[in-house]
Amino acid sequence: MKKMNDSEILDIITKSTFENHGQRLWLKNIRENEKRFGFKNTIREIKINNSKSIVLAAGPESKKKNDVFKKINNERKDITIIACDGALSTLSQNNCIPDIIVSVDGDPIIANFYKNNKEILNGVTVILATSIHPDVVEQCIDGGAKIKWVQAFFNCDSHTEYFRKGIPSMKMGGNVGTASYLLTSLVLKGNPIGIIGIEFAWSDETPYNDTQYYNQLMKSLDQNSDMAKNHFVHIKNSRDGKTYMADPVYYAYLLMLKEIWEELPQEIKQNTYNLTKGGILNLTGLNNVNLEEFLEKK
Amino acid sequence: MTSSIDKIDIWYESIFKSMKRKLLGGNYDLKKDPECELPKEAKGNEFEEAALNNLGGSIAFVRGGNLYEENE
Repeated sequence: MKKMNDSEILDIITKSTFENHGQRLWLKNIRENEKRFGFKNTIREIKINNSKSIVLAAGPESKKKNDVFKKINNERKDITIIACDGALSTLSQNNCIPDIIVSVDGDPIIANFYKNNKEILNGVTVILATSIHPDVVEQCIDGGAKIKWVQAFFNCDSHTEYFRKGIPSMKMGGNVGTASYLLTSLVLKGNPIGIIGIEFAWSDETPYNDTQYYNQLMKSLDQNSDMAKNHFVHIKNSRDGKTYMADPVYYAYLLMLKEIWEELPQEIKQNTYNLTKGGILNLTGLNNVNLEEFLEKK
Repeated sequence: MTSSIDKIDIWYESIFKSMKRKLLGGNYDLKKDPECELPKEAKGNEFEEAALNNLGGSIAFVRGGNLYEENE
């Protein structure tokens, strides 16, 4: 009997991701973006007015808290908001215009976040990975956003065709939530940084078939629902006493962030605050406070 | 032409096929499932090399190495 450890899980997910996504889609996107839009402006040019920052992701639990935006909007002028693309509709519904929006996923479906929330794009800075789909760039331009480019670590000898000199490279952590946090801490030098909605999980009460990738999981397991359920991880959250569940992909995102967290400078870790109680985000030394406490920080 | 939804399907189907043996619970029995291949153990930067060899994208799962480079 072989028990798989977390590192091996990451190996498998990484390999699948690269084989199925990287070669086909990302290079095509990079070439088309370069040709059509150019990579003139980069994240190097971004300056923020307030170092006190909130990274806003689209975790399912945080979406249920309606009073969050009322409190944020009251202090809006003193905070820089860095939003993941998936949080745009929530921001729009709550009349909260972010300072910066981040997108890193190369799939064209990401363009819908921008297309459906164009009213909050005008003048906003949007950070895009060079491998983003051109449809996303089109929507950003149409909405009046200011685009700044970033790229993954492509500057190795064997993949020079993906690398573009002059554009900063950053580790992305596999998902837009982690990428947004790293941009805020490493590039924008946010301090303090509050994190909302990076949860990597659903409430344990959520029906399995309501989770994001359940249908794909069922398809690959010959529609065997018992087997599908066995692929979910259930973790009890000591902060709120509730149990949450993650599918293998979400769980891998958490593992990746845990590795990155260990590499971050101590000063950044000390100034980072998780403002969401729910979910499975649990990093050694990560501060957990509520939104009110964070907003009071100078 | 493949739609975006199809692409996501293909991606995740591949991931979950690779993980068909209840990875997270640890029931990985080669006698019962002889077609399963054990993953190689990660050694130092082997993971990163493998990732780069297969090419990463903006959401690359590259492990190890730097967090940020200016590339000026």
